[in-house]
Amino acid sequence: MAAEKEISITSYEEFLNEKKIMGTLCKECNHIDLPPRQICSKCLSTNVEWKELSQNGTIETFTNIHVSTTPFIQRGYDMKHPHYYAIVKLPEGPMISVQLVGFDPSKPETVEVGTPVTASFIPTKEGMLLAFEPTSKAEEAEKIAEDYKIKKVAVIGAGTMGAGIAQVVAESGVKVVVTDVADEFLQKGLNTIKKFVTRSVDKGKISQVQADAILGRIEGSLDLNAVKDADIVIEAAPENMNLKKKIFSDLDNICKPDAIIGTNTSSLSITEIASATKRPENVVGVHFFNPAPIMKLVELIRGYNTSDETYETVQAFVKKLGKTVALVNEAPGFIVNRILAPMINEAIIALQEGVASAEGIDTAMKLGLNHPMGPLTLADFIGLDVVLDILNYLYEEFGDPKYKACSLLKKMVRAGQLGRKTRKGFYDYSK
Amino acid sequence: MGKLLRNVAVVGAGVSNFGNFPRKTNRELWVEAFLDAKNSVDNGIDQKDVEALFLGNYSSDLFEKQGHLAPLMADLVGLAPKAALKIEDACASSGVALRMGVLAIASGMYDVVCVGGTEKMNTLSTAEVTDVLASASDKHTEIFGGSTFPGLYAAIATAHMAKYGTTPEMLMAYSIKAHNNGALNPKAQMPLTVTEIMSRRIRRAKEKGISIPLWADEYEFLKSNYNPMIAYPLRLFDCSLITDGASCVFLAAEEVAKRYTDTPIWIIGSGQGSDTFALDDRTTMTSLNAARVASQQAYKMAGLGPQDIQIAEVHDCFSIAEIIAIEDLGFFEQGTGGKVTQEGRTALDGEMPINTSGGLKTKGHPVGATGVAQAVEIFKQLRGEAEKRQVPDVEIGLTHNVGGTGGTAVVHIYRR
Repeated sequence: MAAEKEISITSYEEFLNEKKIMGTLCKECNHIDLPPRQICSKCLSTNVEWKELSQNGTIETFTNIHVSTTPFIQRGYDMKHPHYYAIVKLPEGPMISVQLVGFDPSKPETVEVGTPVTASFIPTKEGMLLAFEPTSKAEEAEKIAEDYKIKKVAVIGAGTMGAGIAQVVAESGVKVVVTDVADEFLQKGLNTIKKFVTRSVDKGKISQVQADAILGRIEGSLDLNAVKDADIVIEAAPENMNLKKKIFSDLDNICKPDAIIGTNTSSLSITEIASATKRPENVVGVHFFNPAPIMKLVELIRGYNTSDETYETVQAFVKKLGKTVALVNEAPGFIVNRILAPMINEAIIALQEGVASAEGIDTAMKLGLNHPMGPLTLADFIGLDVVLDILNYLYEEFGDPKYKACSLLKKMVRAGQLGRKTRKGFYDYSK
Repeated sequence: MGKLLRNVAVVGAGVSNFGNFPRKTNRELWVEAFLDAKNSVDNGIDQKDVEALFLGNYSSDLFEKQGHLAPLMADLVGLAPKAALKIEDACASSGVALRMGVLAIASGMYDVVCVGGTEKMNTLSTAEVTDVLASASDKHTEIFGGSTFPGLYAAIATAHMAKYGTTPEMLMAYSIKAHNNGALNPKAQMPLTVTEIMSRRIRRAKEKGISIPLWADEYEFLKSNYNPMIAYPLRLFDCSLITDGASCVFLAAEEVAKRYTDTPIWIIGSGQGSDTFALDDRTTMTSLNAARVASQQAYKMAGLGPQDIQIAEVHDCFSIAEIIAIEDLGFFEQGTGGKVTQEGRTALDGEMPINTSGGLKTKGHPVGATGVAQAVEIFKQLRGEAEKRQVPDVEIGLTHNVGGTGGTAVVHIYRR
């Protein structure tokens, strides 16, 4: 409770993490100080207590900053510039220095002294940063948040993707339950999360308190019934249509009637998976990328029956996770794999025709297109069998020869040279 | 209260060259300033006469990773084993050091002291320098709110514009005036007028064969992309420079001052104030209360008022800072600082010449050295030694040195 916390800047920031703006109220003269002070700035009394302040205010003055400091001193948060800085006056009297969000950064003339603004919190690796946005936008967002309140999430499968997704959800402040069929898999997944979060503490990106809070939001279970009170369920089981259909049919019986069931499939048909349920309108594709805690993109796939409401709820939810959404109407390979697989295939064809060496192809694509890694290195990373599966699937779905896997790729898969996981692919990883 | 127990004079004053010197550290900058000041003493001064060093420096530890600066600087100029101490009050460090030197002599503790300031800033990238400077503002509110020093002064500018109708053109008039003065100061970092900078840009563009617009006047240039926005409404030419430099003065008690010179410059007023640390805790954002408090103390001690001051070096870390400074010091009415600047009333030939040295804008702003560098300019002006930028027949001058966004302000009044 507020009253029990010592009056300190640390407590103030912990309150911000709970999305509360807490100042001190002087019991002698009723003056409010923000951030909190142990000695009232007006009458110098030490008889002060916590006071939660309004989250609406007006802009007292502002600027639009083009040359910023480094993330080092911004609670690890990389301020995009130009960005707005403002002093906001709260109705109770005190003013506070904050970042402004939701205004067009290229048009400082659109911001005015006196504009009403509402608190909005920016999650950073070191906790919440207090920011304010135009009140009009905040009201809109609040309406959406009220309509689609998500309190609990379930993730089916504690593999690499499942564990990663659960971690992202927990980091956003939402409770999550992870289920798997075997204790061995479940423990492995939970340990992966723990290691990742602990490493963030070691690197100084988050505090131990924050790490404990994140881990405290994650629950593991071997019983699928544990998902019964979840608002959103994300299935991250192996890529097998029959398995997924079985899970969705079970989930349909267990989940709340209005729960949304998403699948993290990277290629299978959402429409077909949804057909295993009596609520295909509540089924959607939520495709995270590996490693989920780091990769910013989520492809949101709309199946044949997915409703607008489901789609919008999940879209808002994914944004809340700090991810960027790419909207996709269901089609084989969605966006990323549809374009990536033929690109990798073309790179392998070029290699096979002797256009350039593997290193040459990768260097050219890296430096020529500013890709972080070349297509052949990436193929080794993904696994050549997976690449081949995707190509075969695209070819089968479209029937277009442009998706046909090249012979070298097939040969390498047959030879068991699958990339990093077998220590040999286009490159040798045995050393 | 509010009195010096004996009179204190400046008997020598000097500065290093100001600029970006990749091959100089605080050591060389300081020795250069010390020797310049030593050579300025009419009858000479010996290191053995000096009883203590008061050194202003903001952050040699962050800029250069060299701490414990005062004994190091004392040692390099032969002042050891005399007392040496460093004073840190952000950009007001050496202004406060000067005040401490004055108090030390007035108290009777010392007869002769050396007061200096030094800052080596061009060791880091601009973003990292911004980090170091930002640490002089409130970490938990202003910095986490995304602000920077230019950002905080920009917020002051926005408030001043909203309240008094100050315009970007008024800020530009400040910048043009600052460059006109700086062009006459051989030690300045950027001794060029805005017109000269414009013709350089045109020449460079012609050499490169890129087309550039023809600017009708300085204002058109200052509104163009050649003067990029730093923090709205402040552009590049509204901001002071990142400077390597040092400054030094010798102070002497009245009993011994005549030994060193026949024309000592007396420090007749000294004041210092503080304020709520964060800008957002202030009742006004268009005035620095610390500066008002400091100037009132100094005026009272000197028995003078703003109307008696003939020349002033004020802390123009940003254009808006000079505008509010000349209001806070009582030279002009609250809210009219921008207007009078545009009317030329603060120019070298105006009724109240401000920052004849070129100010922090063109002379440069080695933060810890600035306060004493201001005193050096007033020393030269009052002794008629300011060469091309000399204001004729000035007897009384003032310096105004601000730390942070006015968490600290220190004002001194000088008389020939």
